Amino acid sequence: MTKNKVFITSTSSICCAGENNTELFNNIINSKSGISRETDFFYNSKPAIGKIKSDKTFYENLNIQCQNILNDSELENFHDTLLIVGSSVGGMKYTEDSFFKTSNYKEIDSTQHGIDTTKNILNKNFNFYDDISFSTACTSSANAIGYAYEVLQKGIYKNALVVGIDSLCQTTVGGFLSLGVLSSNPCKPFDVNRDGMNVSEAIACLLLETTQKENSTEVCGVGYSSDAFHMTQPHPDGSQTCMQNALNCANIKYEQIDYINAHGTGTIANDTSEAQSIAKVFKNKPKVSSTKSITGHTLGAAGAIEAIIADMVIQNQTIPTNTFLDDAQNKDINFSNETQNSKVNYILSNSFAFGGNNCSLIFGKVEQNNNEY
Amino acid sequence: MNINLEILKCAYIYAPTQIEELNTKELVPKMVTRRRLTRASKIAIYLNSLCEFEDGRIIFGSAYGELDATSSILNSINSKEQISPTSFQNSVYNTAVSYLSMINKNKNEIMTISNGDNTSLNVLKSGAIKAIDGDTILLMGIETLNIPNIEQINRCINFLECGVALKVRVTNEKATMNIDNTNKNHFPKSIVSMMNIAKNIDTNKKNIIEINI
Amino acid sequence: MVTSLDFKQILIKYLRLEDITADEIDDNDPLFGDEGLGLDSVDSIELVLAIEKEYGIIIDDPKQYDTIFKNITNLLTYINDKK
Repeated sequence: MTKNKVFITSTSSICCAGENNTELFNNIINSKSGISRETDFFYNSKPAIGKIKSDKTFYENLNIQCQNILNDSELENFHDTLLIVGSSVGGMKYTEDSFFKTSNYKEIDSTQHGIDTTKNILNKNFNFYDDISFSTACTSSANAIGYAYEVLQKGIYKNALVVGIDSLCQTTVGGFLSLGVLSSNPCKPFDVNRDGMNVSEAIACLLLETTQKENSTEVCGVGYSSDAFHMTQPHPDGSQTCMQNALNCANIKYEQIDYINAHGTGTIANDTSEAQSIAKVFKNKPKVSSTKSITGHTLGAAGAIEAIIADMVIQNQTIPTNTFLDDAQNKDINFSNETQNSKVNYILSNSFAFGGNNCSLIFGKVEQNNNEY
Repeated sequence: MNINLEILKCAYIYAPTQIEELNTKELVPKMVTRRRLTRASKIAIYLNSLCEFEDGRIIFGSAYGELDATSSILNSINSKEQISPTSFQNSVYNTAVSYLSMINKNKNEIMTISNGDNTSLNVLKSGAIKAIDGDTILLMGIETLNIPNIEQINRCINFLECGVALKVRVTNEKATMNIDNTNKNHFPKSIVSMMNIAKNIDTNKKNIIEINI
Repeated sequence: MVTSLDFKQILIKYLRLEDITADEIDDNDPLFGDEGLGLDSVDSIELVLAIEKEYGIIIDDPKQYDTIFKNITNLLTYINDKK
């Protein structure tokens, strides 16, 4: 069976911390959070959330991100491209708008409610070879990237466009509020005094191909696992397994990981469990940071936007700090406490979701002459 | 390109409004776990047991997801009441297979696809591609639409609860069946191609389907 | 005054317990963890919501959950105290 290498050749994103990738990365390395306290968003609480600041609609921005990819890449169109969507809420915001106005389901547009909403919108402007959509809560777009890696490695499709997308909606903000895990301030992942996460929105697109473009970052491997434990409480064994599976898939040893972009949501449960797992697997103590204090938790889009961040870390050879981390709870982890230029060859990026669904991705720097790293 | 899958075992179940017997009490003896299960979760556990699938990768598809939990949340917000955290944790599209994984202690990769009418084909295609690795995989499709007021939006589905599971393995042998999307019985389009496979199985011979990627 | 029977019926309803009657729940048996009924952290939130809805009592300090929610006896003492 063919075993192609897979590269990230073009990316585009928009989130609360940046209208584009460059703005996003600058805000990460300069500790400028995009999270703000929204007094009107939810009826009986004032959570801190990450809203995209744009004069365009959410779906206008979706089309723009995909057009950016087309403009930036060498593709003339997406006719040979597999569209892979990762989303946890789909069109729920628009269903909410309809339901809260009418108190019934009669005006809900079924093509704009589910997870197929994104491909329905994109199909109005672009033609893809085929499409598939994953919905596994907060690992949706990480799993989408994993699938892109698998199918391209096997030579099944020519290239793939991964779209990680979730919009803010009352259901998710209200839902996480009901679980008591939201913070009223930008989150402090891994801090002893952390008090919760921030729900956020984003659209993050990555074009993956089997041929390199300039210094494209390589997608080296993916690891999956299930906790088989609880719907919302994580179990450290599950995340250890998926990180190890990613290393096995990439055929690299744990000592080769230079930086970990943690799932790091700012909740008591996730950060405790994840830190324990990282400490157990990575005895080499690579630098660890969570970028969710800047972007918030973009739910289904998290895997994709953090893959874009990992790509930029490799391109810039710069490891971001942990904004708002003052006193780490787990002293066995080498948390990054300042943005630093650093030799970064391999990055591990974690995403963990409800239902104990886990996904870890490994990205690598490729030398221009394609030698071993 | 084509990939052929041998259907080793399969199961299906459906009802116009509610499936009567899912054997849940026997399959999930622990009450505090059983009481949390959504309808789709019970169907997933039932189909998994009929397919005798103990451990391994699962690919699950549902276009409509957990409508009961979702509508409960929407109604709570609309009436400015507290949202039930149980409803929220049960509202994600991967709920059914997550409970299945907990009950069977299945720690493998478990994927959930939701892509409208294309869900069934997506499950078959991704299943075929992953099956190239050589393992036996469980493919499942479940829709549960039996919620109050669903008639406000349902125009064409005759079976509000339905599920199908196919235990598959890749094969080089010649196909004996093709994908069939005909839907005389008005199942949700999102599971019809998998449902047709299951209903057309001939237990007297090998059943091999050709998946066109 | 909320009786043990009343409260256990509320518990069964809000926590969606099945195949169990009020008199099968012992007032002094632990509610949480594997040793007792087997409730978890999501149940503790549902219980807080139930108590607020049924009795108008708000328990806003999660640190109190361990004591108040230990068993039916403790819960009844807390609720009848506050009413």
